[in-house]
Amino acid sequence: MAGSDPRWKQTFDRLDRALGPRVNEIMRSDEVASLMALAQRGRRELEQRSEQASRRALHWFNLPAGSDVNRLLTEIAHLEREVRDLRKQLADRDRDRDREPARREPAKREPTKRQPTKREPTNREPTNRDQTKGDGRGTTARRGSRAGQGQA
Amino acid sequence: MARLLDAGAVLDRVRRDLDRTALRTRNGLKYLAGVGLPELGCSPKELVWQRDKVCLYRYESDHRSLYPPVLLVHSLVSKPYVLDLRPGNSFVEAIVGRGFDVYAIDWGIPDAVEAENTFETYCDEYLPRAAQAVLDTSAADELTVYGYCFGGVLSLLFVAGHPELPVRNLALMATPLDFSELGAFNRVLRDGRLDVDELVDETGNIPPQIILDGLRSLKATSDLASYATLLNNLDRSEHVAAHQALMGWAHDHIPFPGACFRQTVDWFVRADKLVEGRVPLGGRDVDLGSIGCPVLNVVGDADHIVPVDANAPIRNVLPHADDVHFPSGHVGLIVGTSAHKRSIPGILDWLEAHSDRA
Repeated sequence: MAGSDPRWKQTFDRLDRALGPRVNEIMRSDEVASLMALAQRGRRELEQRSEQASRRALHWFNLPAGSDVNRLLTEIAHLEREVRDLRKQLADRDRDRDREPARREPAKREPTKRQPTKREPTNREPTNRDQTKGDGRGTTARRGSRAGQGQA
Repeated sequence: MARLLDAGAVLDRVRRDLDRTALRTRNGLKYLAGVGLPELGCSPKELVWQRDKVCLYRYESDHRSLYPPVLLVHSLVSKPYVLDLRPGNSFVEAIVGRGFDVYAIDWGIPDAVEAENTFETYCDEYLPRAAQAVLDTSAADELTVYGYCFGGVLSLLFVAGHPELPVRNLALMATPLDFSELGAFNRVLRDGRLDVDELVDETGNIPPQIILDGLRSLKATSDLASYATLLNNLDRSEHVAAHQALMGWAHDHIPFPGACFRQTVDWFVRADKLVEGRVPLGGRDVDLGSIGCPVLNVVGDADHIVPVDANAPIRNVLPHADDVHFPSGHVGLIVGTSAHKRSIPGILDWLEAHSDRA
């Protein structure tokens, strides 16, 4: 295949074989790592200074800055997480209560040939489950009626 | 007569060259415009469980003949469709085709709400429940857990931290334990030249560009070589489609939850908890060596993202693990011609040998 490649590709491959390992070694070196860290710090510093300047200017006109919006979004995200965690705690408690009478012993079995057992679907109302979108109803499997599907 | 034949041959050659040039131009323009993208993640599946943004899918199959079911656990920094990239080039397709009952977790795309997700969130909350959902849906008493890359780290912590769950087998593929071998980016974090606070964005997560830059620094010439090969093969539409699929995925990273990243830096980059085999998960010391089930450890000898040395400590942490090496790269273990000829059959053979006929 290499022999049938056009000349530019053969040249590229020769250069890649000759220089590639050296270039990669340099990129993995400590010095380049320090440069990367410095570049990231510089970029962050520039962003912060730019944000400070634009915030001062916008606040002067009593307008909200991007950082104000970000702060609000962070608060909202924090609240959303708390609500989500509370909702999950309630859902888990309900599910554990539903499962309690039907809890089965873990099967002790030898690794032999088996047939998949057919289980009747448990007849229970879907409880309010975690859902990041929509109406807060739990997500269930779309097809068939199998036990334990879609319950978080 | 000979001259006429020659002229005919020349005309044919000119025609072929023109056709080839037209095809190259067409494919090149399509590539640049981003149109005609190949379909990805095509294996039919259904959502069987969800919690927050985390979705558990079960892949459809008419011939589930092997037990127990397999739960694929992907990394947190990239999208899981690499496991089911394209028809005919899909790890999921191969496992399902072998007869396994296959599930896969999609962690979703984190935003500000997920910034506080920790290892405990993934290993003590999501994974145990997902595993239970697998057992319930398949009416199974055991399962095989299969972790890829950082998903292998999650799988290790999950299986070791939850001995009460009936995990029959654990498979780890391209899983890092020694983070000091993962390149310069880790070194600057390790010795404090860079702090996590300097990397998180306004959502509290690590932006995908940071992850991509870190991965690029591991083999800087990789992208260039890949594009040169693409340019040379523009007249092969199948090659262009495969390139689009793989490079598209390689640049399709997702934010990494900030809290989990801090733990990664504290536990694995600045300390060597995985190498030591003991991780302080959820207020308890999780002993990785307590994993007693059969373990498959798959390593790519040409993997520049998780090099062999980064995985090597597994021999001390889990001495009973079956180490299997393939001459593949990080993604080459599951994608590409070589994967389908060597690594995937090898992996499936091990899984089948540690499973039963249903």
